[in-house]
Amino acid sequence: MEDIFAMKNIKVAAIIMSLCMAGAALCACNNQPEPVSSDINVISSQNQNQGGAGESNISVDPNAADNNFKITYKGIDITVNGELDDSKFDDNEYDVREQTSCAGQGLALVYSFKGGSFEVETFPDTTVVSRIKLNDDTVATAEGVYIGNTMDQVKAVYGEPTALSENIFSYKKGSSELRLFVEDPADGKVSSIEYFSDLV
Amino acid sequence: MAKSSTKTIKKVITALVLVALSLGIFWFVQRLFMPKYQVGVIEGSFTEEYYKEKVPHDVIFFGDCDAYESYSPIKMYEEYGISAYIRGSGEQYICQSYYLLRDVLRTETPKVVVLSIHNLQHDVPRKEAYNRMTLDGMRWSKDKVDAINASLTKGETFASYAFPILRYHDRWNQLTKTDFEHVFTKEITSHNGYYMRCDIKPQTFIPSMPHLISYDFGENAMYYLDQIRLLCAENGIELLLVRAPIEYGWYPQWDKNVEEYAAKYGLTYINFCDYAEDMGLDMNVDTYDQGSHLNIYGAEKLSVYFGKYLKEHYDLTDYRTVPAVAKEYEKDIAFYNFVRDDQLAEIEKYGELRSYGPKAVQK
Repeated sequence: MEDIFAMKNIKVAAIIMSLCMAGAALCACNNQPEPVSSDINVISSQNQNQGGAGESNISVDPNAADNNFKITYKGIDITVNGELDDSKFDDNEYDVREQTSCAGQGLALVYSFKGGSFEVETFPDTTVVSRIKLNDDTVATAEGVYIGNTMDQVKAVYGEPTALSENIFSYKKGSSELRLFVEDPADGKVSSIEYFSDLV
Repeated sequence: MAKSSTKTIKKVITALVLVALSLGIFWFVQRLFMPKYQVGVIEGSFTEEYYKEKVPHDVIFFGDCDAYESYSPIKMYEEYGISAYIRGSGEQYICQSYYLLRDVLRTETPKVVVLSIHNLQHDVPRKEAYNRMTLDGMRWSKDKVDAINASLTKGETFASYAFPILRYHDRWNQLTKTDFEHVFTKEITSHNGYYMRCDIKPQTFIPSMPHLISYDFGENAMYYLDQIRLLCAENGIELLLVRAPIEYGWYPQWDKNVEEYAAKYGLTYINFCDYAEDMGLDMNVDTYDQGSHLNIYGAEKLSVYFGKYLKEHYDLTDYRTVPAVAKEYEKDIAFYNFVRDDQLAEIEKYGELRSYGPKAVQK
């Protein structure tokens, strides 16, 4: 009789354990099809010995060279959403700063060319260009627009922009955007030129 | 009859034991699968480390890396006897700062709350990775429930916070020795919430910031700033707004916003960028990542400077004169010095940190 009771206990134990494990597995499986971002993957697959810096899900836009805004420096194109190969430049032509994020969740690079005349930033943990900023009038866009031009001159080159505010004007091209800033709407002169990626 | 009753009791006890065992196994597996944040990205440990504190705190900081990498509570204690703690975490969003403050008030009421306003730049939480680092370690309470609900990003579910195995189950094939070693207990990784780095990487230049269409802070962020202010007022806590002396990643217009807010509500806002020279900050030696964060040298300079201000402007206890507290701090100081010396030894040996920092390898 006691043997039967013991057998029953083992069965009950087995059933409860199985249900428990199955429940956990089911919960886990239910979660599987949900879309996950790279950050979630960083957390869920984080190897404690390797740290938490994750791989970015940003990759080079294969059409960037043909479709996106670019600038040309010393005969080398720097294209938004294209790859920045810094080996093409001499080391003394630029300064580079690692742009860390909170808790090691990605490392972007910011290159400063010509003593700060223009800057190029990459997406974290990639060599893909996310932003270009022209800081003075010694550099121009590939189409010849530079800081100090009037918006009328800009429109003659690029056409009618989309006004994002009274002093910010935007042009889209492929997966990139060109923004021009007019600090003083009264004089209508461009005070800053920036390129952004549309991939974010 | 008695025999039958005994059998029933036995069955009930057996069933209860089995249920408890099953729950125990479930709990164990869940704990095993969760990231431990003991090596590498240790910032995910910070939230829960606060619960191990044994001393009262007169000053508690809230915020993201601007808070937990810029101020050294141990230095403040050594210099002024201030008992401070940083309840900071990776990209801590301001809604989380609010709920962490509520969480603190369950156990203690600090005299001063220092809010690093760096997190006002994010109107709403934007990355689950950061949510996890802040929320997973939070003790369960209504505040944690509210914090989770306020933080969920697209695709996240409350259930995955209640049962983290839902999120971490796929770590099963990546478990390391660290995961098994720290299922039940974790080692302290911070120094009263401070993240120590002793390496040096000079700031070469400060990149220009992209122009924004609007420089107003988001409504949600401002709502939680209001909530923090009101909660402090209700509890008789002085609220102090600060910005660490980090030049990059911030706009003068944002400073103006904070200044106007502080003036409107009679708060103090200290932008330490304005006092970098006074405190002797030199970004050739006081940063470990080219100016994004301070290293221990920068943090100690800021802490000595800020500690003096706190001591002069608030009625803070000198806990060096309270034996029970001083005894605990002696242990904290020993740990602080040990980690500092260990990092310096590594830097001397390898020219860089190997077992500290996000890409650290376990010794």
